[in-house]
Amino acid sequence: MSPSRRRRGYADVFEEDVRISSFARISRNISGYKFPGRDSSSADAIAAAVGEALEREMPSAKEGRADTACRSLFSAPPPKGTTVFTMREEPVVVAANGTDHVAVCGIADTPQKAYRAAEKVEEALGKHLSFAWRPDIGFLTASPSDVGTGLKVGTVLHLEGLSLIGEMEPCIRGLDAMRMRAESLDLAGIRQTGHIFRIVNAVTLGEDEQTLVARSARAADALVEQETNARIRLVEELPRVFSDSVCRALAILKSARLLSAAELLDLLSPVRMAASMGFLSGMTADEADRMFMSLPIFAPDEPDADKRDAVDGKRADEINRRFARVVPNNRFIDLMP
Amino acid sequence: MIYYQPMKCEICHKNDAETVFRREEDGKTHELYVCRECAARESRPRPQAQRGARARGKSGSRPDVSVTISGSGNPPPFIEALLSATADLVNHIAEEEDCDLTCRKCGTKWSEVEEKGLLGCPGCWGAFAKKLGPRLQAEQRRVAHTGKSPSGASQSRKHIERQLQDAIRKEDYKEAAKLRDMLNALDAPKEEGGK
Repeated sequence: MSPSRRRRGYADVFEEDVRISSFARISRNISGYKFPGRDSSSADAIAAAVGEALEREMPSAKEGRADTACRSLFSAPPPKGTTVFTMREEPVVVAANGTDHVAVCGIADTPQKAYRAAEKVEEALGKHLSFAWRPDIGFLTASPSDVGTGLKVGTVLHLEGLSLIGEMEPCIRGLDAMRMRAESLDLAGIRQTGHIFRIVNAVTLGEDEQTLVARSARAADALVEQETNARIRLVEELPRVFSDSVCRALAILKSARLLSAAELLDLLSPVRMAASMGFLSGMTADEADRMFMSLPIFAPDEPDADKRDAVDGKRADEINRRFARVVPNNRFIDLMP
Repeated sequence: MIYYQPMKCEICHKNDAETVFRREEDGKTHELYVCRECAARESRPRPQAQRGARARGKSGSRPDVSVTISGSGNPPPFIEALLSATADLVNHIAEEEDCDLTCRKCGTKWSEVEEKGLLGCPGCWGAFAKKLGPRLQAEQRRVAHTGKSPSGASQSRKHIERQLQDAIRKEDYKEAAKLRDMLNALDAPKEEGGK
C-alpha cells in the first residue's frame, strides 16, 4: 500500500488525487524599461534579451507554448504578446512580456521542488539581465502584490470533499491567518468551478523565499490532510450526500444535450473523486483524471450563439456516449443506508 | 485650518506673502502680509507674530490662516454652510491632486494605477511611494525586503550595510537612519522558522 494511501472502512483515499501540482512563479523586470502593460514597443528587445540569456545558460531552451503548464495549473494562458520559452533540463516555463518582463514558473509535485527549479533558471537569467531592484523593497514588479521576492508559490488542490461537507470557508479563514490565499476558479458563472483551489502565498515582501516556500508546503499538506479526512467522513458519515452528488453528476453527464467546458469540469469533479476512491465501474481513475485535466476551460467564448451551441452540443454527445456505461459499482451501492 | 490661494506680498505685490505684521492703532488691528524679502528690508520693529501666521518655509506656500468666530452661541447657519462648502472644495482639490500624481519616468498617473492595479515602470515605485507605502503596510508582512538580491542569495544585508557606511561617510543621517531601520527589520525575530 502506498504511504499516501489511506484506507478506512470503505474508503480508499489517495493524497495524490487531491494534490494536482505545485508551482513557483518568480517575477522580474529588467532595469531601464517600462513595464509591459505600459509600453509594448520594447517587447521584442526584451524577448530577445531573455531568449539570448536562456540560450547561453539552458541550451535546450526554445520558444514554445505554455499549454501543458497552464493545464496542469488550471491557469489562464499568458496574455497576448507574451513570448514563452520551455526547456528540457528543468520543469520550467519562462514567459517574457506578460504582466512583468520575465516570469519564471517552475512546476513540480511539491512547492520546494518547483521553487528549486524556478530559482535555478532565474539565477541563470540574472547573470545576463539586470533586474530592477531596490534594497528596501526588493525586486520591483508591475503589481504591488508581487513586490519584494516576486515569488508566488503554491499548490493546486482538488478539494471536492471539503466543499461537499461545507468546510471550505473555515479552511479559507485558516489560510488567511497563515498569510496564504485560496484562489478558486469562477468560470461561466459557476462559483468555485470544479472545486479546484490554488493555495498560494498572500505576501511577497518582508519574508524570504525559503520561509514562503516552507509555509506554502505546510499549508498544502494541511489541506490535503483535511481533504482526505473529509472524503473518509463523506463515505462513512454522510453517504447520502456523497452518493447524491456523484449520481446527480452522472445523470447529467449521461443525458445533457449541451455542455460547456466549465460546466463539464464542475460535473466531473465529484466523478473524479468517486473514480479515484474506486466507486465507479466503466471508468478508471486515470481516465477520469485525464478527462478532468484536459478540458479547454480557458478557450475564448464563441461569440456566435449558434456556433457555441453546436460546440457544446457536440461535446455533450461525446460525453453522453462515454458515460453511457459508467455506473456506481457494488461498493458504492453498499454505502447507501 | 483652511488654505486659500497664495496671497501676494502687500508691499512688492510679486512674491507670495509669508509673514504677517499686526499693529494695534486707535483700538484697531492693522495687518500687513509681506514676503520674506520685504519683511527683512523693512526696518520697522517686528510686531508680535501670531503662531497661526508663521511662514511655512517653501516659496509658494501659503500662510496658515486661522478663522475664529467670536461671540456667544453657534455661528449663523450660512457661515457654517460656507465653511463646510469651502472645506469640501479644498478636499476635492486635494483628491484631484492625488489622482494627477504622475511618474515622471513613464507618465503613468496614480489614477491609472488605482484603476488597473499595475505600475508603469520601476520609477513608479519612487514616484508613488507615499501612496504605495500604506498599501504595502496593510497587505504585506513587513515593508522591508528580506529575501534575495540580484547578485545572489543573502547579499541584501551586505548591500544595505555598504549603503549605510556610505551614508555615514557622506553625513546623510536621514538616509542612514532609514538604512539602519531596514537592518533592524532584517534582525527582527521571525514568527516562523526561515531557512
